[in-house]
Amino acid sequence: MSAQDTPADPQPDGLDAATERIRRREMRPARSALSIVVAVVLVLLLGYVALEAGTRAVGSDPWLIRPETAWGWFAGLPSTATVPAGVVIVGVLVLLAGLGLIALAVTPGTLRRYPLPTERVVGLVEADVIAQSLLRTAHLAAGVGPDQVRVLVDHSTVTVTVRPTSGVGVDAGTVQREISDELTRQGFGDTFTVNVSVAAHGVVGQ
Amino acid sequence: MNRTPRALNRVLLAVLGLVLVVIGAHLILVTLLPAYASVMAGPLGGVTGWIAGLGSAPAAGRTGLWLGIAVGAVVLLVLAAIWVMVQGRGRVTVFTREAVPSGPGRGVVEIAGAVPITLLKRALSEREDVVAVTVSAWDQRGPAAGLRVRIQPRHGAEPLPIAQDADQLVRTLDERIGLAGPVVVELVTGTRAKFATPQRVK
Repeated sequence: MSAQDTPADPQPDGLDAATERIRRREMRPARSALSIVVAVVLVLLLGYVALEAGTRAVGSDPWLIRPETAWGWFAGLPSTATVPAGVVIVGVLVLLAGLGLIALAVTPGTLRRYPLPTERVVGLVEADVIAQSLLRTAHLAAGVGPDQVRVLVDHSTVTVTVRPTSGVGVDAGTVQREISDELTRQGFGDTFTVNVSVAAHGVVGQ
Repeated sequence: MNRTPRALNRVLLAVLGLVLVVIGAHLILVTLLPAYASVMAGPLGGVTGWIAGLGSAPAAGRTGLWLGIAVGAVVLLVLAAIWVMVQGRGRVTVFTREAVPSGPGRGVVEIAGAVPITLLKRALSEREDVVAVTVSAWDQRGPAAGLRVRIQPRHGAEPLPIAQDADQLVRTLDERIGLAGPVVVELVTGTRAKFATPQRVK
């Protein structure tokens, strides 16, 4: 928000670049929820360490365990372990947690949202909004009631599950074609592959 | 659009993950691999001996170690708390601030964030296929703040026309205000959309 003394151009040069940067940024998670969880755990652990070390520094009785006793146990492994299997299990859990954190830190990750073809703004739509908009096409194409179809949008697939009315066949091919047409019409030409599955057991129709 | 330090998040998570991997691997190896345990016994025992040696040191040196650890832990704790606080910041209440250095209208012209927020909200709420709209302003480097428009479409509504309508409204807003910042339009689901009547064929 810099100060300007001339009437501003409604579309300054920097805006397109900023919009493009935000478009890329909005497609990837910031890992802030995980960061907060990890930071809170860290705060609790460090708080305990500070408490125990501080207690020891002023020479009071330990809160749970004397720090040098704890260090002695850690340094004396494996002979100090009363349950060696427990130490291994804890080690495996800690190792897996560490690998999980590294994996989440390194992989870009995905959000369940998709870009929309807009020019001025960054348009984004959540997967569930797309799924809800496809519901009508799906149930009309299948010739069943709206409660007999399920649409799930995830990553690059649209999965349509149809529970047919007993005794009435459902043509999966028709449903697939109509859903594909609808997706193209909505601007998601090549974003998704459409899977249609028709349940083996029919239900009482509507 | 917010000022969450994304790179910092990932670096810190990776570093802490690495620390956990080292600790976990140590616990496994020291129990299962006697050769590893005997190699590590030297340096670890050295530290134990050093701590024990402090017992005979003058009182200042004896408590200095624990005081140092306590202070270090508190410093790291404060840093971790700061890490939590810097997530998701950058929301602002001023849309633009423009200095007019000379002439009869000399001074600072400020447009509150409520101006574009209210305009966009009202315009979008008129659509029948929109259940709820929330707009927030976020600090950006350009001449105007960035806007985040969250729209809950009625279930069954087509996403693209709503987004294109929002796109057109933002263009109009650019013209009226004369300053433009980046805008994010998100179509999301939420409780309002869940409990509203779904969109029917007209």
